Amino acid sequence: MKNFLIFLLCSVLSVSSHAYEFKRLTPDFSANYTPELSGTEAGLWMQMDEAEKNIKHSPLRINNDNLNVYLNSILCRLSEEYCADFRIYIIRNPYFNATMAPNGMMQIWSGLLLRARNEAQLATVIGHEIGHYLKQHSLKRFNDINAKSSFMSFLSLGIAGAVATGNLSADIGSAASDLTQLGLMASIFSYSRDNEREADQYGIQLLENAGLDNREAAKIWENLIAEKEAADEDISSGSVFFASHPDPGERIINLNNHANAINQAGKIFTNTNSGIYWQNIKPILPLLYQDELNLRQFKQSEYVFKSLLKDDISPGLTHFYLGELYRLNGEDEQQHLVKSHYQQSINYPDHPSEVYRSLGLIEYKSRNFSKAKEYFTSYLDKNPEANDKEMIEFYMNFGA
Amino acid sequence: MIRKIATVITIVLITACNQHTVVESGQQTIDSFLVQTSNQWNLIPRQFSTAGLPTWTVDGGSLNSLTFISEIKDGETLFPNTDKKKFDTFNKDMLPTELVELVESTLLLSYNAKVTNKGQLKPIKIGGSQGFDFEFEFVGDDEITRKAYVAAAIKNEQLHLILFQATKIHYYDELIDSVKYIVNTATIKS
Ligand SMILES: [Zn+2]
Repeated sequence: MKNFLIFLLCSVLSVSSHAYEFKRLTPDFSANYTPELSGTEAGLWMQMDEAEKNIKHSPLRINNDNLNVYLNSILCRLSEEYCADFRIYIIRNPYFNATMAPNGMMQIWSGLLLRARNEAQLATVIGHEIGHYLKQHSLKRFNDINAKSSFMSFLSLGIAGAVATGNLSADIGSAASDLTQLGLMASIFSYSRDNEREADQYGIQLLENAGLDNREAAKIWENLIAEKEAADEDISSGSVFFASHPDPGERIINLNNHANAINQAGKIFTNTNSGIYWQNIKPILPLLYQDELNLRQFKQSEYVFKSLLKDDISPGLTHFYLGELYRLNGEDEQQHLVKSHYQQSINYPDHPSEVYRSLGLIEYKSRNFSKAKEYFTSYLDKNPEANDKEMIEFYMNFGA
Repeated sequence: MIRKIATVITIVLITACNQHTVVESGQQTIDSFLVQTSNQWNLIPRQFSTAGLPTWTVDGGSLNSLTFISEIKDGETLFPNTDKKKFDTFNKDMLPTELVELVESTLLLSYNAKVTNKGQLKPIKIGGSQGFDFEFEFVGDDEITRKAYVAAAIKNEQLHLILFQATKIHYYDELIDSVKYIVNTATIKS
């Protein structure tokens, strides 16, 4: 229902937006910029350079060379002139977010990669972050007295403060890591609404450089709203991005207005580059799916998995993980879906070998031991080095 | 790396302030478990232990810890006082493959962690009961890689489990043999 309202608003506004002319933004500084050694900005950069050294070697960084090259290529197509000033790091964090530090270090969270449907949508977010950088938004925030004082109190909190964020058990250290520290900083430096609007506008302007369809920009927010609605969840819950960014409904309207204004004045690009996007994501897709499942937010995950299935992305793998989702959710009325998704999975060449194990376990629990044995045999045939080999053989012998 | 060492030292200093009760080597009873230990451990006070469960350590809880989880009944979560809507619950018909998920998921959600590596899952006997053991590596918010070793069995439709967690660097390898000695000598009371 909310979606429909937004759609209505959008169409009304886009009709009335004929008079609106898109104003092009320009960077605050030239490429290869580094701050003067003495200023506050230099101090800020030094902190970020330190953090970046650790993030480079973080066990939570996804080190996939091809994917890194691909993301860099998007960045360079969006802003050829400044591309050498940025470094992209892919971080294993299943929530939707991306961040840009004032020194040009950009983080892309894995949850964003699972939720962008194509290159144009991901480029919208990357372009938005480039926009923050080119307009020096973090420095502007830092120069704000308020931000400065909270930054100082943040620094003095140190490790002692971070321990208090510990979860269930106090014994696993929750000492502030660089990733958490950056997260904290991001929330302290959360940009103003005007900064966000400007970054959105910059992002959509940059899409043109890459020849990407700017009508995709608003869709990423529409999808996020739909995902939250699927879970009957408040839009701001659980997402750092929503907590620190303006209302997505308003962004959708603004982004569509910008896109319309640009497209009326010039050439309309229709490339979304969905194929190349998923070709690059596929090697890490099982990891993205598993991390998503580990959040145990089944309704939202179901929405995401089904969206990928609708777009025919890795159907063998996606059917398998949908089956896993329904199995883990454990709702009685969904149990018939478990087996049916596993069986659909094996119809596609890209099904993972684990689907045979899952099917074997279903048969084993139903005491259909000979059928279970067939599936387990397939699993071990395809996966002779499986780390649960001895356990699977134990199941097979027990049934025999 | 230097900051990680600094973090570890800080944690050691913090834990050193706590009053630990010494667990002498020899025979010990912990809830449903009767075990033999080959070395001395320290009992972590409940307010600092893993989910308030009986937990031992040698060098401090954030470096290594051994938690005993007894008599988990059908429909219960692994850690007490956790939200059943969010956390997986035990079911008496679960197979070892599913119990691995129960343990992993409980730890991941509790520590906001990610699994970075999986070890072997094997059937074992715990004091005459058919059980299993497995290991995996995980990284939480502090970005330190830890390794977990878990040995468990279902007896009288209840889950009994020994959970060892230690930093992958140094402490896991140093203590895993004495942990396995405990598992090998353990019996589960009826
Ligand atoms: Zn932003």
